[in-house]
Amino acid sequence: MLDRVTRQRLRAAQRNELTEHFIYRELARSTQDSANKKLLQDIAEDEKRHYDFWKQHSKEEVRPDRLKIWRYCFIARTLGLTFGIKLMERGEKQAETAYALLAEGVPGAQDIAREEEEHEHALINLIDEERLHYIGSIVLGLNDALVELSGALSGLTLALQNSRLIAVVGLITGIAAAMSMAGSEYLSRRTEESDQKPVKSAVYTGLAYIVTVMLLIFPYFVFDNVFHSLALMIGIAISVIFAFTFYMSVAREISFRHRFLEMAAISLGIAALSFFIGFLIREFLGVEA
Amino acid sequence: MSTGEKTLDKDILNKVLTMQRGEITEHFIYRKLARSTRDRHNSEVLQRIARDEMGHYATWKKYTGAAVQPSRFKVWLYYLISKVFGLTFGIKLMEYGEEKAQKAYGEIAKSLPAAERIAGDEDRHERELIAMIDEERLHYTADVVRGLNVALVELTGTLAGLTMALGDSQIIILTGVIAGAAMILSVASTEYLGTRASGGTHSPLKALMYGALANAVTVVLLLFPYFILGNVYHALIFTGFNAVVVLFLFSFYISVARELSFRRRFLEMVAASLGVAGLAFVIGYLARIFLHISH
Repeated sequence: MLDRVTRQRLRAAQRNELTEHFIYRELARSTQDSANKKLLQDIAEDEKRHYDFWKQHSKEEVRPDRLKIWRYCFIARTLGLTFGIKLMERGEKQAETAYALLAEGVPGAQDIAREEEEHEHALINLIDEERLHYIGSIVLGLNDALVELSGALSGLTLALQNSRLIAVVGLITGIAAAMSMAGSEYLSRRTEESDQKPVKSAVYTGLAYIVTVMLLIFPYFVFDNVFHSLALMIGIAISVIFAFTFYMSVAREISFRHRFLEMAAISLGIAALSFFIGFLIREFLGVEA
Repeated sequence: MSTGEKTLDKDILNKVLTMQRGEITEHFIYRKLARSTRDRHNSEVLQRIARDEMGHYATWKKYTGAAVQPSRFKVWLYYLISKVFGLTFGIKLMEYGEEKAQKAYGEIAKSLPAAERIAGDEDRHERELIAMIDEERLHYTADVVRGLNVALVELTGTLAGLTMALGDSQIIILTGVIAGAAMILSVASTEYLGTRASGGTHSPLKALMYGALANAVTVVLLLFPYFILGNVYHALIFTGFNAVVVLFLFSFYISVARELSFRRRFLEMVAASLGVAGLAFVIGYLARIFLHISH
């Protein structure tokens, strides 16, 4: 007879497997790509088997977590299959430790945990998602827009001290820069002869750039006080760096901290330098806007 | 063809003498370059080419029976070009000029088929040797290209847009300098991070230096018309002209040093720069109409 704590852990594990089974099944249903569909179905089957295994021991039925199913299906559909699934699997790390504990009371539990970790992981990595092929192009656009525009806007803030004027200058600079980056991404992909289509890469880069530009300049359209705009702009820049570094770190399984700090340091460093240059120019060129 | 040496008519003889002079001139150029090149590998390659050229000279001399002096002017010209713009560029520019002379081979060949065969063999050999020259700055061509391209497309675009939107020389200078400075810093960081991430043999710091330097020089060239001309539209035209000149010179350099076709690259880049500038100009016009900026 199992004790109460083990029984509770068992039920939690069982529920977790069933929930994931439904998530994978749902994702498989809505995925068009036939290779990815097959993979998702396979993972769903695995989860079902795990569920059955726990059920043999607990000898009871559990219900899946409807909210979790809905949440991860939503995330996977909007932000990408790989990101959604890996975010979910990250949460599962805790479940794995529970499995280890379970191993004491339930024979074979450790095998399930290992299978969960190795087999499933291998399958997940087989999922082939277009947007991840172009993540390099997106990062290129984002990074460049963040560094350059936050720099230019900081410099302009001090030099011009006119919200509307700064917004317009930022918009023009941003659009020219976005087109320039998209063009250079096109050219470099074309000469590279990689799997990535040059036009698609250019579109991803250009779009990422423009979206970032819009996010960065909008404070200047909203506030009259340029320094409030500057503060909000810096806040937005850091949020964008945070969000996309998090996305990358989950989807690509790379460390978050180092990349985040590096990008934040570069963007803010260049913004500070430009701010200073703006100050110097105002002083020495004697421009009064 | 054993009696070939004696049957040269005057016209052919003159052509062969020209060839002979070309070979001795190149011999001196390569020797001079070999002596002034610090890199041991490159210096050795240059010495070998110099010896080959001497061999060509001797071959022609057998037919003409005359000693010829090198062109001192050419020796200095190509020596200086190679020193200033790089070994590969200087040598290939010289060889490029030699190719035109090669058309004369056709006629000489009628009288001296054996000589032509020798010349052909040696020419191929020489090419192989030239390809062995390893020049640092050519490793960073891609970085220089990126630095230039970004400045050309982006800053020309920005300036065109600002000219239309603001119409005030002082404010355009102010914003142009800031946008340019932010761009140089951004290019520098991108070069550094990109080169480091690609994990090749290239030094990230050198990539940064080459990329940012090319970018900065272009920024200065594009901005200075606004400093010297009061009329912003005149300044914009001058900037556009500078952009085309930079593109022309750089495309030429790349096409010679890398033996790539010139026309297509040049036209493509001109179209990109001027296209973005045109679009930005329209956006600047729209901004002026709809956003009512006052300064």
